[in-house]
Amino acid sequence: MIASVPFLSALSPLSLTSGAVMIALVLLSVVAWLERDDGRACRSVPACAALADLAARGDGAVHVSPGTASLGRSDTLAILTGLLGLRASADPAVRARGSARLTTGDALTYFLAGLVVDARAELIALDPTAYIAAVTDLLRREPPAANIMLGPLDDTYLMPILAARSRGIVQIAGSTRLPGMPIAPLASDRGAIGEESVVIGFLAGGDTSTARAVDLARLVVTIVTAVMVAARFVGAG
Amino acid sequence: MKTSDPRRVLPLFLGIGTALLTIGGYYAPDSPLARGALVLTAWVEVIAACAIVAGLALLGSQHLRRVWYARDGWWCSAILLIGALSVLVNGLAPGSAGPNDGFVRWAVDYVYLPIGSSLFALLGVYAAVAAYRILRVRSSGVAAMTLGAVSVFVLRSPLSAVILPAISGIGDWLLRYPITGATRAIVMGTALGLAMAAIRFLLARERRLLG
Repeated sequence: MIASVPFLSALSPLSLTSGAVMIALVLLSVVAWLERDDGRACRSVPACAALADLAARGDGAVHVSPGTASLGRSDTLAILTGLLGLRASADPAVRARGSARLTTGDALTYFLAGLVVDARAELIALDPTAYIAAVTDLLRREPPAANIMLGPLDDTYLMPILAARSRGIVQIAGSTRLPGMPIAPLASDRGAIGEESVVIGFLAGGDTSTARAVDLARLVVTIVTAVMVAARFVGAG
Repeated sequence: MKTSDPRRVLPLFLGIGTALLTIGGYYAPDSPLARGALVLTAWVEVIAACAIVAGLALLGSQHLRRVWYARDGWWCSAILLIGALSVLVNGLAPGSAGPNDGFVRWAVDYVYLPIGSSLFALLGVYAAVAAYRILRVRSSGVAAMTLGAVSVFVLRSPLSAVILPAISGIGDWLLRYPITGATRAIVMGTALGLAMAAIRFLLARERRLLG
């Protein structure tokens, strides 16, 4: 039937499947947005609560970083959502006449971050290794009151996070990349794992509906997976 | 700034239009949409290249100022500037082989790569320090994490295969099933979170990115 429809026949089975998933996600997000933003998410994100505490304090210097990943590639979304979380953490510090310093190791991210986050943006290096070394040194020489790192971080970020920890700097970290995921809870005060690193940017801005939509999507995927596994077992039996 | 402000509305429309065109091209590979998406992808590369040139100029000026005013660590900036300039001049000089120029290759093979490797070698020390610090924090979460890490470390080590061959299979099983399953769940959760973020950006629900 699909082959007889000119437009649909151009679509591959793979794109049909991913299209169905995309439509399901759009529906889920629309359903979530129909609900009121009542300030409650399905669950609490500890890193977000820590971010709120930090924002309430709003004093001293804050160092924020989205990492060195480049915009325009697969990490674009992770960088954008990371910037939202960094904006929420830098704003209160600036409002309280503190200072916020944003460092990055990518030129495109640097130009965008300067627009999004109210902080003194600095392009530290154009190479990930040089950036890690420079930020580790920076956190030791000029320790801020808080260090917030959100974005696609690798395992090498253990160096600056641990350097800041040895100086007693309050830290919140979250990575969307698998190698960096254990680093955040291992070495920082509050770590965000997996989708928490994404949701934190929205929750910090008071948007609980996106967090609910993510939770709904996870629920749907879990139920579908469970049904598929059960069906396979029944079929095998 | 009002919602009808062209400075706010124009980037929104440009962003949404670009995103829809790119997504449309993905779902209809042989259509004009796909060709349009390819052109946009090429534009991204051009913009990224321009940003790198601008970033290089910015970095150069920052370090030049640091040297000029003899600020703390000015000699590091001086080394950086000398290194960057010498590689650039040798790579761009008439008759040079570009990235394969003798000096450029030497700088990469004997300066840049060893420095990078040294930094990565330090990562092991940092991981050991982090493990020591986390052991000092007594909580059930830390205990579970430590127990998991130590058990996988012991069960996967060649020594356990020699001493207790029966239990070495447990390490493989742990890695193959519970750990892989948990990893996939985390990766899928992250992907779902990012997909929701993408939809939010596409529907222009998120305007904080416009400053």
